[in-house]
Amino acid sequence: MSRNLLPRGIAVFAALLFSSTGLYAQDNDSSTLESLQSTVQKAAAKVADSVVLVYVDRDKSSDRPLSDMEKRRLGLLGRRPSEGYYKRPSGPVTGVVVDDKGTILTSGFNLSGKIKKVWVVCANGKKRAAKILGRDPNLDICALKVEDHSGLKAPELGNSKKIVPGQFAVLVSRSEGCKDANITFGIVSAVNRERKNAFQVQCRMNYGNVGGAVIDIHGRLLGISARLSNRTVIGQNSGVGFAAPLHQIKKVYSTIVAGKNVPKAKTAFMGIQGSRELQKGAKGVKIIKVLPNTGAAKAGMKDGDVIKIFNGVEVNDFMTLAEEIRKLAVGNKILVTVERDGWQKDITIILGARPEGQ
Amino acid sequence: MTKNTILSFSLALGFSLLLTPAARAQDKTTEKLPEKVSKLQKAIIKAVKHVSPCFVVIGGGSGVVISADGYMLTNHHVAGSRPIGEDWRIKLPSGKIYSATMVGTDPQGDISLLKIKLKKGQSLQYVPFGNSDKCRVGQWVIALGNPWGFAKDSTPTVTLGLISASNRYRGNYGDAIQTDTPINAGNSGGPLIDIKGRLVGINGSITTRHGVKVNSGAGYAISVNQIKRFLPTLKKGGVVSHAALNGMRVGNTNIGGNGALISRVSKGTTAGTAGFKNGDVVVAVAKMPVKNSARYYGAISTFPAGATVSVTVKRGDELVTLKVKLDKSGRANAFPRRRTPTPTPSSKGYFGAMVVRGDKGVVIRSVVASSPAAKAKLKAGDIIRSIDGQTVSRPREFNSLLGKKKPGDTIRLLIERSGGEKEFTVKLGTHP
Repeated sequence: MSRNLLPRGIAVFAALLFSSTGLYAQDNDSSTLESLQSTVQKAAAKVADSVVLVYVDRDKSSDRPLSDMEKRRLGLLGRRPSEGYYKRPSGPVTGVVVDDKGTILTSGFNLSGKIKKVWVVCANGKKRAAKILGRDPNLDICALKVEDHSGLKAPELGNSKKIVPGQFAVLVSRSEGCKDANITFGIVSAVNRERKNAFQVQCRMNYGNVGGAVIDIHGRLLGISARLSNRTVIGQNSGVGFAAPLHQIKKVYSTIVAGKNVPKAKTAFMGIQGSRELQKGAKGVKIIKVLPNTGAAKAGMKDGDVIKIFNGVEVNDFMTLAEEIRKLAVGNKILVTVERDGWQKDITIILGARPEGQ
Repeated sequence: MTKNTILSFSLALGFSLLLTPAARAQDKTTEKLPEKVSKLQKAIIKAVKHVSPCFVVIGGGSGVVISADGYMLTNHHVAGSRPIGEDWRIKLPSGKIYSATMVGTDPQGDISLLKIKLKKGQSLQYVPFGNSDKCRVGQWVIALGNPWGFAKDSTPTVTLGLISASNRYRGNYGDAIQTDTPINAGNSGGPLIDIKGRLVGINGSITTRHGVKVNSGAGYAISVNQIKRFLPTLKKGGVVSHAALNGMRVGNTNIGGNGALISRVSKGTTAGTAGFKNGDVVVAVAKMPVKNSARYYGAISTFPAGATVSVTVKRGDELVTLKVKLDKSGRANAFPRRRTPTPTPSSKGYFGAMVVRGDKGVVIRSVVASSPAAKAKLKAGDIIRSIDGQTVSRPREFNSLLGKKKPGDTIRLLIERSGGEKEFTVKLGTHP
């Protein structure tokens, strides 16, 4: 018997050896993909223990219902999704352990509403009670604390300031009943979005995995996935997703860990509905409507006025005007030149704050 | 030691030699990425860096610069609401705002060509054209776009995916590239590039579910090869039409997808005069292989009206190539088996805008460039309250009243726009 086995054994050994050197597997494309596949798996495995399930018991009536205008905006051009589309689904969400003291970060939406109880289930299945600390509505993150943080460790941190569009990104999250962490994969779509409060990734993001860890291909934490709610137009799994970058989180970390909320940053708002039409011949932005109780209203601007110069810049269209306002802050005093019935008027306006929902 | 143990020992040794370098280096603190992965990531970042400066924000969507002197492409459904000769304000990633003039537009092919107004001596970075017929299903592609307006701060939103299918006939797109690259509302008109940074398509539509315009895994781009065929016609200016081959019926054969069967060839028509015969099986249109009738119609529609193409048919055992000067397509969608509504016969007055049901009644969804509705200065978003004094609250009501009018008739529409109401007069035309 042994006489027959030896040649066969050598043949098997030789076959294995040859396959490793690729003598009959000369497919460069698939080896790159296989390499990519295992790299993604390894990266996710590095942070898996730091990604946890977050259970939220909230007063269901405290989930703010959508207004008609919000429904219209979400419905986009007259189509109406079913009512169920707007409801927050039940089930646990995801959070990320970020230090060795039991601090967990998740998205603000995950912990919005009147919360009765929060608890966390970690990678090893252990259930731990959690307490809500502080929030930052600009980054859309919220901090939790688990008293019993034995065995919980933070992932390796990456440099979120060096993120470039096109680099790989992996979103690692948890779902109920799954031993392994969940992964969605893609590239970084853009940086410095939402007034630098987010970077954009195409990893499919939904109500279950938001709050999860966005890591680079090396497995280092870049940010916490956020900015997804039942009110955002991006919808679930659209391929447009946002994450709060680590370097921005670091700036507010001590505040939210101390249990304090970061106030929402106000953006400058003039208070007009401008025409997007290009005025033929005569340049400027025509005001369709001046909104009540705004900087524009208080300064005496009227419907039909044509804004010619804004803060020293000639504005020929709405896009330019919006750009100029974007550069300013609440409380800035601006000189605006408008044309009314053929007369040019100079008006001083104090920019207010953009109200909710605008 | 028996021979068996020697054998198992050598096998074990062999296995240990086969351990990948990455696995063996697991304990090292400074791990390097596998070279291939690092190369792939660098290639993607490089392609993105090269094409980003050519990206354009226009209206609610995207566009791309295709020549140094400022020609740019976008979808017709993004820019076509403004007639030829009118300007759009556009923005490039540099942050600079320019004016771009509508040069030519293709409603059926959903492509608009604009020229960006540049200063003397100024030139722009542009994206080179690729070859969409050389693209393989499964290859990487990258989309640059402006989903939900997030790119208005000047930088495009970049997404990566695969080509899921090519040469698709979907809706009006006769030669669409189907991709799983996440594309959403706002990506329309933006470039789809290959990993070398060459344009392979212009993104235009997606499959959606549950009435929500959110990507569900299938997006469609107009192929660059179709665009290349239309570019000269678009540059000449105006609204361009697609080709059709009138005078014969082309259906699917029963011989296993090896072509499209010709029947009902009529004498004196383009098909009859060109020499097509009943029973011929189309196997290629201008060297593009044709496996079924959908591909035949799709291939024909990639040409502008009046183009001369060679069509190869199998006649018995022979291959015959016929040269045909193509007709003008009379429909927005020339593929006969599609379940789209049949076009209005030319005896009815032509309005030129699509209406849908909105919260307040009948809303104009889009206006065809240079149509009677466009000439009357109607716009997308306008709410039609009444037609000739009769209140309408549903598109069906509006369409049936409109359907009674003839070309040349004038209709009075009470329009609500931005909170104000005004009466508009539209002189109906003849269906193109």
